[in-house]
Amino acid sequence: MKISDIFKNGIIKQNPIFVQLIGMCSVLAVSSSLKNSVTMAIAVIGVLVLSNIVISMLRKVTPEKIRIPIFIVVIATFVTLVEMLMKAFMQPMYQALGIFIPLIVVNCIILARAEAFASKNSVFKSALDGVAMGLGYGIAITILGTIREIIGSGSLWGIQLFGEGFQPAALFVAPPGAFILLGILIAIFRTVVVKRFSE
Amino acid sequence: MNETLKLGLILFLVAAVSAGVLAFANEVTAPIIAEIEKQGSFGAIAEIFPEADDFQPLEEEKLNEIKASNNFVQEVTKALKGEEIIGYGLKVKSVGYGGDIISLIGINTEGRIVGFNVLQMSETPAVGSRIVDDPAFAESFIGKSATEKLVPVENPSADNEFLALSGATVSTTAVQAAVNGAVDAYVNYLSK
Repeated sequence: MKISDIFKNGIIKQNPIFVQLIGMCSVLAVSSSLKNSVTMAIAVIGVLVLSNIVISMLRKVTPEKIRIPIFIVVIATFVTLVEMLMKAFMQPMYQALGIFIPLIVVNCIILARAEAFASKNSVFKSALDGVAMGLGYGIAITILGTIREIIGSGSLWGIQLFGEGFQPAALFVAPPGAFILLGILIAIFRTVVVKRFSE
Repeated sequence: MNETLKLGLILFLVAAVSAGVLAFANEVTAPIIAEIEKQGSFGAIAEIFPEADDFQPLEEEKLNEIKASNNFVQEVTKALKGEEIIGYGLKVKSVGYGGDIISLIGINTEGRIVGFNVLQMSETPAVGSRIVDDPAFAESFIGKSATEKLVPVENPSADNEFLALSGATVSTTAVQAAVNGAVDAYVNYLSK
């Protein structure tokens, strides 16, 4: 598999959110503002890359029968690390994301990449796959976060964009708004972007 | 049997390395986290009483006495300047639209509300969350009398009025209950 294919797969053809529809819980929950979205994306990319590297390193000594518990232990280790570091050095952000940081453990993107890619490919390629899939996730949650914050709160990165007269559509920062917007984005992404790349 | 043992051993090794890494990380971050949490609990009160130089929790006996008749008050902290008590920080809990709202209310010994701060809530974004996001809401409590029940109105001016958030009646009412709980504790116990 060529390096460009790894990136094309992660960001476009197999985009975890828009195409595979996995790991959507955190995307729907924390994308109410751009800042939350970007922080969450960085946390997921970090865990995904590190767990892919370690799982790929262990792939020759990992017995088939207990691979899943081993994957989970590796993933949980990195998630706990990220949680501790955020708690110590990024307290406000940790409070905003709350339960969704520890829940990265059960984010299916990470286990799926461990099983489908890292356990079968070299360390270097697995690291790149982690970056690519993480970017795919990050791009999706960032787009969602940007649109939701602009429409729902009238601000971007916490900065007010419009004057006093602007009445934000609170629906978009609430869960139903997330579902509606995500549906629209998936439809657009699949018809426009994926089609162009598969030709 | 042999294979089971081998599998168990491999999993044990992986888990042991993981535990080692986490123990090390915990060693590094635990003191920093403890420091932040300590600041967090007194930090909010210190903001309300900037002139205070010490904070102490209210005597357990007194707190239990308050709690026996008051469903809202969770914790009371005394703000001290030297030996003298200059005010109280009351941590109160009430139920809003999206679960518990925990707020901190500062009342000075002259019977005035000097601070209102929501510590924790999960109200609807852009609706009930205005109890935190709208600075005018918290400001409308400042300087109000802590000797009578407060009521929410559109344009607060009197000594017992605070800003009502239109469209967020449940959140407003929850805060009202909490603040009046604190006022009650002050009038019946702390001011005596």
